[in-house]
Amino acid sequence: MKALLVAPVFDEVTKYSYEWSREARRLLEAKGYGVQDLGGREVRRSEVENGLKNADIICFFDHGTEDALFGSPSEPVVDSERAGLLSGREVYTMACLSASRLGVEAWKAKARAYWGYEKSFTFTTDALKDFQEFAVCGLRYRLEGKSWSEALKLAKELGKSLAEGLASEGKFIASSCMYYDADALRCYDGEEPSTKCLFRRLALRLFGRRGWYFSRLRGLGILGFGIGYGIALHDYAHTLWQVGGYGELLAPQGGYLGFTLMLLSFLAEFLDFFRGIRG
Amino acid sequence: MKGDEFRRIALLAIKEEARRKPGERIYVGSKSFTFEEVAEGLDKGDPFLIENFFNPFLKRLKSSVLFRKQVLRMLEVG
Repeated sequence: MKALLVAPVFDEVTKYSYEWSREARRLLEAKGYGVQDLGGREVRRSEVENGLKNADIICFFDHGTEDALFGSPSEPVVDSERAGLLSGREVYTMACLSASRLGVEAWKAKARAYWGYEKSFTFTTDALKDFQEFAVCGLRYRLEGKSWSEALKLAKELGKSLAEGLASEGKFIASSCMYYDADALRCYDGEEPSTKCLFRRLALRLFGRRGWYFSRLRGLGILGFGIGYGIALHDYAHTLWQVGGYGELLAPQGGYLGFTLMLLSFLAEFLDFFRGIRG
Repeated sequence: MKGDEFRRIALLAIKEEARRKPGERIYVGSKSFTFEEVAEGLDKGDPFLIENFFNPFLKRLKSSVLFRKQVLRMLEVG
């Protein structure tokens, strides 16, 4: 079993995340993983992509955005456009925001799991041990043999319990941050991604999990085709009616053959797309 | 307790903790602030701190009776 541990250092925050990643390395090695460790410095995309080729699990301790994980201030090492590289792998991150889009893309690309945060990861210096414990706990649970779903549940419980402990010590700012982190934690396949987009929700209602694979462009294409098809068919039928009334309208017409072929072709293309995606 | 009262207590609690530990830092994503800077920023209505720190604090204050009691106790002592 091989693990890729990515923990770049290039600013104040990443010095902390690098320290926390040492515990992740220790946990992985204790479970018999061969760990390729890219950390303690700026990391290049090419290094990560090479490392990914052999890795069963990738652990990333550093900055993230909605679409990417960063190896330096300017270079994303993994991003949504190349989320396919995460296919078949477990991904464990403590990066901010990445669960909101990159995580969903990784899940769609058949990553075995994506662990991350939907909002910014926040922590305070008066409770570093607690935040380290929380940042690494999901990996620990997983390596202890829990499913990702169980790990997520336990991690959220731990985060809330740590938050209560911090409040009882009078560390209210830290407590609030911990609670916020636990709330923002996501794990796909521990859970399915959620969405606020009305159209996405409609697609999910109609097509189940396959609804995740409809892009905006595809949705617009289907809508445009439906409206255009309706307008054209109506105008054609209206013209036939003007020429010869209902007799002409109901008579066999070459145009009807054209409309039927268009509809069948559309359905064939749609079914082909639909069958090609994971349910 | 009304919304404004919650906001007032949240702000007082943060300021009190900042007064006690002015040099401790909070990291929000890639940004970092001392507790003292957080208190000053909230006074000035810094939108980043309000969204990423104050609002979650306020939400916790409203939703957790235990947290609220502990905060009020600190403010009484302070």
